[in-house]
Amino acid sequence: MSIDASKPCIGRIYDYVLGGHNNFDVDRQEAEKILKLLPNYPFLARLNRWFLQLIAERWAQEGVTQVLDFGSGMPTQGHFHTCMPRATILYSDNDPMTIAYAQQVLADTPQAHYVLMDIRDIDLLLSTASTLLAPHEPTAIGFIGVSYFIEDAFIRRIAQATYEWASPGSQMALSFLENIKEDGVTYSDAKERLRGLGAETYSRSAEQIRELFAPWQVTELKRLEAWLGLENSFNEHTQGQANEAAIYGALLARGE
Amino acid sequence: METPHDQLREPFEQAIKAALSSTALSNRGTLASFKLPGIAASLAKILLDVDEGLPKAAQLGGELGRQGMSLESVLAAQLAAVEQAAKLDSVTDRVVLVRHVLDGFSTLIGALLKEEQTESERQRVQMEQAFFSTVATQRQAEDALRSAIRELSTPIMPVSEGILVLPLVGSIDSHRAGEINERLLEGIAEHQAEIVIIDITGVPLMDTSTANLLLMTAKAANLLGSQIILCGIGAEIAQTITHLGVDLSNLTTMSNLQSSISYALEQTGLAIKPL
Repeated sequence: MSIDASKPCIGRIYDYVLGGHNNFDVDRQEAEKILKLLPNYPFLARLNRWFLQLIAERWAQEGVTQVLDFGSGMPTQGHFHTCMPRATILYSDNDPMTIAYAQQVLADTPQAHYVLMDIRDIDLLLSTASTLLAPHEPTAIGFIGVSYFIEDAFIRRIAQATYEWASPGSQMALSFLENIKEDGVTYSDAKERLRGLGAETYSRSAEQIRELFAPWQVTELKRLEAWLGLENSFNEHTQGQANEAAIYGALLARGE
Repeated sequence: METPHDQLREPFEQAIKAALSSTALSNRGTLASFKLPGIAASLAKILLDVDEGLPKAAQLGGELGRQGMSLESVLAAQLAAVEQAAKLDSVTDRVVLVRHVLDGFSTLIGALLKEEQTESERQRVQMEQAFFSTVATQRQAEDALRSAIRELSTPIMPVSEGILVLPLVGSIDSHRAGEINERLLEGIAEHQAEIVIIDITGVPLMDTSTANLLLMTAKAANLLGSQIILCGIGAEIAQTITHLGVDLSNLTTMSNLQSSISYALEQTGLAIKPL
């Protein structure tokens, strides 16, 4: 987990496609190359971020007191700590610069913590979470915009470990990608570019998600544009593209 | 109190809401689409407030700039609002309201762009600070690691009063040989060493320049009043030294560490004896 500003970083590319300025020239140049291959990427990224905000508002209304968030990225406006000012938030990411940025942004937000950890080290992450959160109380777990970068075996391990760690009444919000249409050339070029950034992507169906995340119970699952009421607008922007992906949001519950 | 334009509020709000919703995906990721109906309501209220709307438009513009509303979205809302204002029957009312709506949007856009510029600059500065802070932290960690490796690669062990042992493991390049020289001379001065045993059993290869650097170390140690014993020379290094013609006559050489320690103790009038 080291920093090399001469190389583009997937987290900062994500920020750029979301319209942010927390990125460097090298990230913007790489992002533009990806956008030529995947023009829908900014729309999918926005849906992802807005789903997070929607869930955060819902959790705030439900009185959720603690959030454990995986692969958090930049804690900018609209992230959990801004929508849930009364809750304790533990963010995590594997990019050192994101952590340095977060330390500045969150300096005056004592209820929000940020740790430099990879979600694949789930046991270490959960033992750290136990020191900052109360595992015997229900926890809301954010897994938004991350699952499609994680291999099946790790997803299973993460699902199992979080289920054992979290108390009954806990919930998890996640988003996942399903490829609907792939153009042979541009899709494999895009996959290759993302792979070069250390971001291998995995497409999954709803059924695979249910199976991978068991014993968590899926309680709500639909496309993100449906969660956000943006079906028309999204279709207008994305119709006729060479590569078409659906992005879904799901809420999972940890039963007794 | 009801204003003359209150009956226009609902159609204004709906038209602006539709315009904002259709352009939602052009906004930054920080402005969630489900916030747009609330923004449409505020906007409709401000635009129809002919008396006090402008300062509020400036305030809302700043807020929208911070939240990440796009110019595309604001212009779509402006068009929708003007279309609504143009529907008024009275020509005079229509002109007044269209002008007020345009003034309101002009103020709002000015504030939005200004805030967007400020926000972008703020994020750029924060990012630069994060970069420098990360580089500094990483450099500190690397320096600490390098220092630990240096300490471990040149361990100086006092085995008896006036006798130091320097076991060397791994290949020695000119940089490391320089460090060995420096650490050893420091160690001699610190421990007032009379004899220093350099054990190279763990050194697989040595070239001429490295051998010469070790010889210079031995000479420098001699100047400080210490004698150097070199032990653990393997067959391969012995062959290299012979082949390269390196002169080791100024050094005492011993076969292994045990005999070197016995010799060093003897030289200082000590010996290891069974109890």
